[in-house]
Amino acid sequence: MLGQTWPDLAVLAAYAATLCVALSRYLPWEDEGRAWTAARYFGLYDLVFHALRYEGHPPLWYLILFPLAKLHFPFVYINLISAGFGLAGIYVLLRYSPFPFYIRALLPFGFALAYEYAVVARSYCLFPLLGFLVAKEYRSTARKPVRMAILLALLANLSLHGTIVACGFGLSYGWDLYRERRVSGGLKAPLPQVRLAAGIFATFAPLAIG
Amino acid sequence: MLVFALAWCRGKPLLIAVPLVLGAFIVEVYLRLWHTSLIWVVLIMVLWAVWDERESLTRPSLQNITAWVFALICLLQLPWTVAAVRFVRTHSTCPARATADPPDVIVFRETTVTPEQLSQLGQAGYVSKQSFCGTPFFPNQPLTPLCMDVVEKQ
Repeated sequence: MLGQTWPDLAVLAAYAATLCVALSRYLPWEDEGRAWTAARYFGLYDLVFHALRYEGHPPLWYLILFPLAKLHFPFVYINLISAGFGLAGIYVLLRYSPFPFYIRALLPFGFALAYEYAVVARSYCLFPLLGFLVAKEYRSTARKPVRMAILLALLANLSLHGTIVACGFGLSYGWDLYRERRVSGGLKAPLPQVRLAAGIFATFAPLAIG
Repeated sequence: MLVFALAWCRGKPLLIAVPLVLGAFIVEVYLRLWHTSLIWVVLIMVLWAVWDERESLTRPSLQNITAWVFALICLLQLPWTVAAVRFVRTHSTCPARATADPPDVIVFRETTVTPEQLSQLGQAGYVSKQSFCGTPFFPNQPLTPLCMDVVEKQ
């Protein structure tokens, strides 16, 4: 499945085992519970347009928690969701990154990727997954601006840090498309797609700032 | 700096601005460890975006030196990860304390507690530790501040 080598699969398994060891006895922080509580006790409209103004966070993480919290799933699910996103991010890293194996094998076990953004269930747990997907799409020679715009819009609605990163990568990606047009006399991606992508990003990214 | 130099050499100067602006934002707005680590993820993203697979892995080059430094930083983070997992294991709540024990710390919204209840907390040995009002993050959204009190058992 990984499309690389068995060692990559071993790295993914070791990473999953690390998460399991940590999660088996993990004590959540107060703000992890606050996100779950907000998702559980507010209606969708109140959550997005009222409660989150106190949090200072865009709505994506809360919208992910919303259905589970409303269905009265146990609180422990928040850390399972977080670990799932962490694992998915590492899968993308191992499957698609152009780095040599020694980098691919070491990166997942750094403090940020193995603990902070996988075990701890804050909105940032989606950051590696979305960030790596954005990097993969950015590098791709077959330009797919609509897919890129959707990823950037999701990243922008993750946290204000994500908004900054999404705007930076979006600008750079847009600049690359513009340069391709100037150099080769035409865009690699059809113009309507570029317009649609710009529209998607312009519509959904501002949700991040209320 | 190596990532910035590599991005510059590969003709992606705008990508250099991303971690710089993010760093400035984190310093200015809310400097916490779980935010600063985002810069590490962004540096991985930038390195990913400018990586040239055609380059030899053994020849000393800016790309390879950057990769070696990344590997070194990862190695330096390993003891930190192990310490974090060990901390989680040793500071577990399993088995849970008896739930009948009164809590050491109580957090409540100011408007929900009457002065009588407050005085009862005082008689039970609780002392006010902190009082704060959370205001909306953006100044153009006028909302009532949410005021909380924290009391701790002495």
